[in-house]
Amino acid sequence: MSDDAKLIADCLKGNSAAFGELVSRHQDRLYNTVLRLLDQPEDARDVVQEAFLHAYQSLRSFKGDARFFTWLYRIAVNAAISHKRKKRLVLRLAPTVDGEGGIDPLDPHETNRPGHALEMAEQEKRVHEALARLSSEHRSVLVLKDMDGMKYEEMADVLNVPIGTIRSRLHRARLELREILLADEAGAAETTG
Amino acid sequence: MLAQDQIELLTAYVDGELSPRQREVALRLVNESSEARRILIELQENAHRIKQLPRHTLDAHFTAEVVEAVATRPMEPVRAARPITFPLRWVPYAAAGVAAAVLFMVGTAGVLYLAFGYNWNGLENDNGIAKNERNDVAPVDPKPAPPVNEGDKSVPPRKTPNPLPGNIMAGVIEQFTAPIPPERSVDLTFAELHDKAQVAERLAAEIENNPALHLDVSVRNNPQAIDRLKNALKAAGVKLVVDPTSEAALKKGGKVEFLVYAENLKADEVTKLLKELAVAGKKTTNPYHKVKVSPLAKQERERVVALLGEDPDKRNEFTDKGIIGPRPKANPKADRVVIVLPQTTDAKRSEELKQFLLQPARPQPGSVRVLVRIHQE
Repeated sequence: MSDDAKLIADCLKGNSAAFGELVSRHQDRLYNTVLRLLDQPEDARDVVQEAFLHAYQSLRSFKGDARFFTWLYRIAVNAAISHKRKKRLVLRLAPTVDGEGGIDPLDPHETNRPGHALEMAEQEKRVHEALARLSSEHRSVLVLKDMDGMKYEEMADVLNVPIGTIRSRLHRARLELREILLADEAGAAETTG
Repeated sequence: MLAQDQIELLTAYVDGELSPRQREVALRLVNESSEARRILIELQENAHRIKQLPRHTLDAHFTAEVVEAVATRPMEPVRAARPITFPLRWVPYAAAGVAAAVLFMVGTAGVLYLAFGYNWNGLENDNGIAKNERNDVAPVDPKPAPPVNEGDKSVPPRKTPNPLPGNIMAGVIEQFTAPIPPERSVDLTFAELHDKAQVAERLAAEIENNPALHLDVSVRNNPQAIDRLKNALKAAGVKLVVDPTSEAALKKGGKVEFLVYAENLKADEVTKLLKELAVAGKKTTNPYHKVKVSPLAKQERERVVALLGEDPDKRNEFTDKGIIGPRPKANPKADRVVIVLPQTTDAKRSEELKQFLLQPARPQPGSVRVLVRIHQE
């Protein structure tokens, strides 16, 4: 029995501390994925929290045929996509606010080299903005693949679509991201030139 | 200008999900085309950029908040399983599909009826095409038509009904009522595998469809199981080497788990091997009891990489930095080797492990990667 499975068994016996252990074990990885699917850290935190609560409530229906983390991912990614969809509807009615919803400051260890932090922050901003311009479908496959290192199969499990769909979505997403970043670089070169 | 399928090959290369043969094609393309090289580098850089995005941690109160919130939300009872697992929005399409299939069958049957009439035994239609003029048609049941009531001349002789619509309908019904196979894994006993052809077929299909497999095998006796595996592999022309740490564990006995790793077996060889292991001995009980076949998960793959000390996917990259020196040239006649992996990642690389890592042309095109977890019940 895996460690997760043991903790789940304990949860089902009413041990809420065991669920706390499951949360602390998976929270950061889940948060980082959701953060890249959404734009606001606060929203990502809320979605991850809601995903854990939902997982707890549905724990009896977790059959153990998938890994717990994959199951949790499925809940969180679906919640994030749904949240984004709702948010988009609200944003259409409200004026956009620039400069909000950035990423937390970089890890201080990265700032040792002069200029490195600035370059990293600039690159992160560009990648983050480019990701934000992709559709939820394209964005989620890139995040699951490149950030989380998932295989097609796991991604198909999480997103509940066939492996062929994952492959073709990733293909289109990679090409779209490439175009966006190339256009961005060309625009930046024109501005500085 | 690259073709669409070539660009698809490059994106799949970046995904790291190509088979060895596809990877070879991709690498050839990259070597031959500067445009392919440029696109590949850009795609890889972008993937790297996403990977390099900084990781953040949630605040210290998060776990406590969730646990607190959980206390106010009771767990839901298990919902009864639904017999149909696909979303209901497909139902109208499925119904339309069935209706279309039925219409097609009726239409086909009508056309066939008009073309050949009922008399299938005689293979002679109303246009007078004789049987010998249609010798491309396979002969059918030569039995005479059922006897007709001679006394009642007013009733026309009853013709043999056309079996075609019934056969098609039976096929359709069978198709629609067939049990939905589990999506991700096949769980069976070796006795079933031995006795039921249907189980063996399903297993073969599962193995055929996955380039990397995990077999979770429950055995009744570890040493007997390994010994039997060794003999079965030997019969297939494959050598099983056992890492000394596992050899020691085998001798010591007890319920230790053993990981067997293979990457030079074809899908049909894996199926054949499992069938071979399923054959019960005449004098002793078969040490092999149950097997669960599923695709190799990331976690399991990572375990293999840790125990091997190198990533099988990264051996044939542009910079092939063999950890244990230059690799020998491929020799197709050399022994194929399967290994019982070390028990720990700390163990020094053994001669057996080196023998496995240095086998030429590893993995061979068209082969599957298999990790077998053998554990005594």
